[in-house]
Amino acid sequence: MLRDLRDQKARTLLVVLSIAVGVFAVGMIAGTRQILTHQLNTSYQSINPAHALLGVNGFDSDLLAAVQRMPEVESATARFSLRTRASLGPGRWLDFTIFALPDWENIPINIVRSESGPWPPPRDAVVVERTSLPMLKSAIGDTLSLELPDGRLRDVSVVGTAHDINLPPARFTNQGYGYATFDTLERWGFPKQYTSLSITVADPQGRNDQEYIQSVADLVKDKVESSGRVVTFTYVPEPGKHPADEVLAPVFLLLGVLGLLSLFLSAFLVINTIAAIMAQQVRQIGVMKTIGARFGQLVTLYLGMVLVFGLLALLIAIPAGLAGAYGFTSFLATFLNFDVVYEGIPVPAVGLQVLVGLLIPMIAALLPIRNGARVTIREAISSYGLGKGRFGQGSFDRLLVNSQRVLPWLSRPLMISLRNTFRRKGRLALTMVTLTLGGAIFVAVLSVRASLYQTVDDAVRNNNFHIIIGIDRDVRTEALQEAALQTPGVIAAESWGRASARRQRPDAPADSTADNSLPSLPSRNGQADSQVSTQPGMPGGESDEIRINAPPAGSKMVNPQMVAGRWLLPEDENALVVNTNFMDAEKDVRLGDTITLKINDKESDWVIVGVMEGVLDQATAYANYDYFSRLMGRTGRANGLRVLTNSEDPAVHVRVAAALEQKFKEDGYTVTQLSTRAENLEGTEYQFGILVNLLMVMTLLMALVGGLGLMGTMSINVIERTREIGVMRAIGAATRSIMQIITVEGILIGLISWIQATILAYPLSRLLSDQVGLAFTDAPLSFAFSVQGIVIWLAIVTIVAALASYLPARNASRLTVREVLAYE
Amino acid sequence: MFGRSKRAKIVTPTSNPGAYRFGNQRLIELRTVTKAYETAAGPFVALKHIDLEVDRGEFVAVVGKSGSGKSTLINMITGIDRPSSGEVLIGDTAVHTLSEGQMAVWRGRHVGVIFQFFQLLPTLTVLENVMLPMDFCNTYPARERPERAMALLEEVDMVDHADKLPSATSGGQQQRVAIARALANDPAMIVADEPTGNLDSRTAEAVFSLFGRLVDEGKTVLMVTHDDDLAHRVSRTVTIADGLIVSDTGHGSATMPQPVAEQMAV
Ligand SMILES: Nc1ncnc2c1ncn2[C@@H]1O[C@H](COP(=O)(O)OP(=O)(O)OP(=O)(O)O)[C@@H](O)[C@H]1O
Ligand SMILES: [Mg+2]
Repeated sequence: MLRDLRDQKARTLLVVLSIAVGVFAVGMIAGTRQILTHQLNTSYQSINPAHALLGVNGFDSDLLAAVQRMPEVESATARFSLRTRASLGPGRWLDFTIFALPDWENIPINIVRSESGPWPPPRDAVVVERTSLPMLKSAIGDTLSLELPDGRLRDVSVVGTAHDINLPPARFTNQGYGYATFDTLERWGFPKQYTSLSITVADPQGRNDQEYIQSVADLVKDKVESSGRVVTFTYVPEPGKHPADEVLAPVFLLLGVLGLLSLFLSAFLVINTIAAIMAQQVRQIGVMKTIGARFGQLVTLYLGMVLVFGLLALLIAIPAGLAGAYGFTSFLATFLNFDVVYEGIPVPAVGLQVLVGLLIPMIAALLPIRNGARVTIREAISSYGLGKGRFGQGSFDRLLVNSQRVLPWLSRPLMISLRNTFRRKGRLALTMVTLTLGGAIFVAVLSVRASLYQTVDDAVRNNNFHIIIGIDRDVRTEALQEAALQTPGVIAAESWGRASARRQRPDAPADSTADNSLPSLPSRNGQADSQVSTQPGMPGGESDEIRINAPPAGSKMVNPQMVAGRWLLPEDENALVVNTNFMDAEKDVRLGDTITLKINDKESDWVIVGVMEGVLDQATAYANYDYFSRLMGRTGRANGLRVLTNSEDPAVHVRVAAALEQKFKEDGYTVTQLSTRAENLEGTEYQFGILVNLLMVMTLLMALVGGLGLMGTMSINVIERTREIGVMRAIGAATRSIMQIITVEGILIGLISWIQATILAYPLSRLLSDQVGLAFTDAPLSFAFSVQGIVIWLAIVTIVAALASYLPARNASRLTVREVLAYE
Repeated sequence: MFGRSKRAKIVTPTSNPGAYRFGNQRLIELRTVTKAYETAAGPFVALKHIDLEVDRGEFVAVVGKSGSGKSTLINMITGIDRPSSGEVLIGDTAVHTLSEGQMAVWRGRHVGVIFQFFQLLPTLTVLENVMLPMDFCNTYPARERPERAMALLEEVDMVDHADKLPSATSGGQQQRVAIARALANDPAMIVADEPTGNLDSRTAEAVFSLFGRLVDEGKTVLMVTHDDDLAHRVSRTVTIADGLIVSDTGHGSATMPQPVAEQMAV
């Protein structure tokens, strides 16, 4: 039996590779999942992550100490954060947030680790978060020019890097982060105070209970507010979970599905190859039966062979899967800002590989082996001559035979290709499934990509401006607009009213409030259940933050896609158009309802007159500028502008932005915010890019499996037809003719699969695009079908088919006639 | 087609006046051809210093016991196999010097090969099978090929079956189609390895007389056979034993003055 394997090297290699590809995919994905989840959690736990985070408008060490003394609180720490802008060159800025810590040596919660340079940073120096360094386009030792919120410029030197796993990579958010001491900040005129408070809860059972943590956070909030400070937000993340965990779940789901699919396709390849091997073994089976082998013995014998195939495949797939898993994890880790260390073999993932690597091929091989072992002795010894595959029996075959009349220009060699294609219909079907699925997934992934960019385009269309510029105080709107319009390249400038609001939800019935009360967790002082928190999505209390945009009536810069109702009319007063994100967040609100918003601590009533499509957006409501500014008591005044230029070129936007800044400075304003559309979209596009790349990796795997499948089918076909090839040789077929006959067959299979893939691709693209949208942006993406993808797949499948049939064709054309005719 | 110019460059032609109706042009010349096969038990010599000359229009039967080297000898002539040493000269071509690809093209044009088992391509109809060599060798204009193939089928009396797949015809019919296909490119010689070995005697007889007719039309036919009856009705019989030619009835003497077909008519 082992000798058999050696004699049929090519086919053995093919089965082994087929199994190995699927098992590799499973191992890589399962391994990545395991390594990533484990290491991300370990890294995350090692910084002692905060259980709750509170934003506070300025507090001192005394309050921090008071919170630390609370019995429910295990430990507490504070941070000061300052938003500055780092200059990257003329007109180019990167938002840069500086954190100051109370104690640099001993950070109890959300530990930041120094990676290089002095810690804490010396005076007039910053340590930057490691992912920010490339974004700042600077190196350690460089000087950074920072613009403070009031417009003053300060130079600091970059002295080192630190790692804060809580911060997303700067590339993601298009934002830099750094650390400086209060020494430095006091010299810039900022008093020593803090703006955020992190706590961990004392109760060991409560640390994993989000509701309990929320109750403690509310106690802390009360404490802070009772000292006269304002709590701007309370945030209780899911306990013990890295912030990116939520995003990773759908990624792994998607990868898991693709992994399963490639395993499935692997099984197809196994069926095909084993069926061919069994066909070759017919004689041998006949001989074995003559000397007394029983059906069961034969099945066991050949299953044993498949087991050996599986073991050989594992020899390739386990190390490759392991390397793939670590490689892929490291790749993902760069997007999560943590480091992967080698921690040995992920045993469950490898266990899974062993299981599927041995079991799946056996299951797949069962049917062809059974059919092969059933051959009677008479059938086995009487097979001679050409014509395996019983061509000519079905009506489809007859149709193909008659095709000569319809296609008289088709030469006989091409006829052979065409008819050979359909000779082994079962094998063809399996190959088709592989290639078709591979193609459809390929197109679907490219469609997701197109949809992602379409979504970005739609988001841009909703808010059609090129530059946002903000200054440090309110001035007359016309003066600002005039200054902007004097800048070359600017064709429109609008001031929008902006605010952040919270909806005051109508009170829920009393009994339901009682249901929402805290679970009675054991607490040392019995105070834990004294507060009722508000849960998002539940009636009663306040909503999450809602952004209010108030463009002037007839604004050129909003281009809403209305889903229901109408857009704002100039005469509208307390009318609101909300986006679909708002409707998703506030599920009880209907078109025409009146809602109460709390803006700057003042409540006001609004009527919802329309709902617009929100693309890549947060919950947002649009109001008329005139009414809104009157309500806010800022009639005719603004602290910022949205600017439209005469070009769609991002480079032009950057130049105009620089000119605008220059102009505003000359006019005596202090620019606090300046960004172009491209900069605002960069983070989103970057994230999308990662997602697409991830999917592309899997797609290539599918193309590989498809190609292997086709190559397998073609080489089996060629082996089966060796004698026919010999005959063609004997009657004068040149090498080129033989190659052509085989290659055309391969390409024909590729083309047919391409047509099927094209048909399947549309629904699949739709599904994938919707799911990716729901997973990453909470709404289906704006769907775009990638016609380009179809064309690219046509090219790929043709090339793959040509290559996959080239090797078998070349081998076939090398056979000498004598070898072929002696072939038995 | 089979001029002597090219061949002259390789070997010195020796004139050998013969007594055959179709002139005395030599078509096949084997010079000290030796063929050794590598086997597990060491080299096995299947042909030993064979010299053989066949002129145009001869009808040669190659006979001998099983394993004596008949197929090996035939394969030397069709270029299906190569000699270990010696030369194989057919017409003006030194066959043993051709590459496998060149060989196929040369064979397609100049040799009609027929095997024991009916080597028709199962996915092509009878007519398409006959057209195939013309497609491969690009010998006749594409438009004329169906017509020519029909004419050849006519000759072997298979016109009625032209549109059938080979699997729908009998063994004898398939062998006749194989002969028609061997004639597709109008080769000067037909080489057949036990063409009647798998046929009943009546069908075998029919196939044999077809060969006779081809000889009458000027073709050279080489045929391996086990059938002594048939072997005695050809113009020349070459007997092989253990890789040596032990007897050759024909060369240089006219044993069969009258047309073969007449003699064989039943
Ligand atoms: N590829 C090969 N390798 C080794 N030995 C071979 C090979 N082909 C043929 N032989 C040996 O060479 C000898 C001549 O074989 P050949 O096929 O020419 O015999 P044959 O006269 O045609 O026999 P048969 O009447 O059975 O067809 C035989 O002994 C055979 O075993
Ligand atoms: Mg023989």
